[in-house]
Amino acid sequence: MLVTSLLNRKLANPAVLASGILGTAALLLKYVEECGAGALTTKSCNLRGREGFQNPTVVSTEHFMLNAVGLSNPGVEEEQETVRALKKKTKAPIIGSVFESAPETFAEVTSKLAEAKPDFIELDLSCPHLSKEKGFAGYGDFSSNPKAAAEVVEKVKEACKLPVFAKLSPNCASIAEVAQACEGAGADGITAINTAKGMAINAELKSPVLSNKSGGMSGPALKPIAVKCVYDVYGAVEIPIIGTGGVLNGKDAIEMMMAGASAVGIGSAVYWRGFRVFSLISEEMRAWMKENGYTSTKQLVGAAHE
Amino acid sequence: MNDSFPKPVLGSLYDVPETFTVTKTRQENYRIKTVFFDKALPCSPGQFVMLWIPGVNERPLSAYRSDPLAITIANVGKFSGRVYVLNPGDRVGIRGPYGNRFELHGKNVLLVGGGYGLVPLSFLAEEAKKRGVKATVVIGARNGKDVILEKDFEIAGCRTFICTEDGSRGLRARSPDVAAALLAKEKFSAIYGCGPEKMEEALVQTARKHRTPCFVSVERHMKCAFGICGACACGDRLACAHGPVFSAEELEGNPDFGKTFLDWGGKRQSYE
Repeated sequence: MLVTSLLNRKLANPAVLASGILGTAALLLKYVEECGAGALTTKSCNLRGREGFQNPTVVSTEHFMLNAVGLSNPGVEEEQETVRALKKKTKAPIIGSVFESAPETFAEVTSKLAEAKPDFIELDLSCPHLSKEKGFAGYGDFSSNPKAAAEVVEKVKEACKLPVFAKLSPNCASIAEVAQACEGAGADGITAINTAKGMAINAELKSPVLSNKSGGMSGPALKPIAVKCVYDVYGAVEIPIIGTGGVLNGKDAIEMMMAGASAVGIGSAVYWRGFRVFSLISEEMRAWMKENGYTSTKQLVGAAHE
Repeated sequence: MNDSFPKPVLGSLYDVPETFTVTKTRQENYRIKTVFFDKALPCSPGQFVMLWIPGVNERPLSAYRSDPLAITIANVGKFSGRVYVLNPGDRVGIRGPYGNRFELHGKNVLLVGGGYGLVPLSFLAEEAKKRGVKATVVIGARNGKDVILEKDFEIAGCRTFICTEDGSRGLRARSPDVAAALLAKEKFSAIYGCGPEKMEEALVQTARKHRTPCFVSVERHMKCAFGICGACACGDRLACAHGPVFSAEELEGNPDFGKTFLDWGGKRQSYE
């Protein structure tokens, strides 16, 4: 009932571990599969690696999580090892996430990671906390500008044969236009959405809480934004969508699929419901589908558009 | 935390730093201080808090006492140096408590600490006394000047053994070796260890040999502290959410324990 097709791959269920959550080591990713994830996205890497920001990097309230980890990663070569080690351990498809600061380097890091043969590549075109950093000037803008996003996708597709998902940000004028531009440039799928820009301030200490001052907001408060973005993207492109943002339970996942997602990204939900959230979402989806007369996840995709 | 820890979606769940004010500090040795705050934070021995100094950093620190909250810090780096010089009236951000705790098992326990690993063990010794559990402590340090919290264990009524690497105070030995010697002569209901990971690894091996339940606290770099980011991975476990306290059984076959950890950027580094 929950088996889901994503391009040329089968997922045991549509719950995909989103990038940046628990993806720091192959053994942890294997653990996430045991907790019920249908596919696993690695933590985004770039060519040389990054230290990331100082703490506080992640905080949370009951409604939202806010993070500016700063894309810390050990670099693509160590990430290749993670993907290789993971491939030996798991059946779930692996989505290798990458980022860089220019279309050419995006292509370079993608072809390097592709050597380790993940099932898909995800282009993090839209991390919200790097735009002003030196060497990453304009970085946050790849996904807010259709032309810039398309340029990255085009260069990556020239360099890499693997199916490529473009991960888009809600921090833009029209996500539908950006998605269309990516599709036109050869993207095989869209991941929507990345976190929304946000900030929290400690009043007594008169200071933004995150060391980077602002960061990306995820969690339940992001869901309506994500559902609207996925709805818009579905209306604009033919390629499949991984709908990500604020999904906590089976009903949220169904909502996301009805908006147009073929699979559903799960990230911050681990905070609210624990590591087994992936299995819980599958069970809840199954129960709801049974009760409401659905037999396949295919019937859900885009159902709210009919 | 177990694998399915349901957290309320609505309620008093705030993992953002709350403001705490320093009320007093106490010098423990030439470079270690205990900092007391103005409020209680319900927490147990082994649990930790994330202490934030705006513009500097936020780091995990083991709770020394819960009511009022207190932490003990060694002045060894930029962040700890800033915590070390906190004065009464200074304000910091605190979130937590995080992680699991040292659970007392049986009526005759052995506490084995190295360096500032003694901090949560002092908290545990106080609880053992309250619950009528007999406790023996091995205080390990590099040299005599580094011995800390001796008085706490005396107040808690512990039988105390001191050992230093250079023999300048107590026995010239490492704390797991003193524990091994004790275990060869006596039976303990459980062993609790906290200190450098190599020391803990040796302790776990000794405990296995003597078939005594053993629990150690695993330290890693931490970012979220609530099981999301993966910075504190130890094998397929997270130090923040599954730990920091692990039993010897849980650590059996863990490829990272005593061997490797992730640095701030996520690169795997060796303890060698």
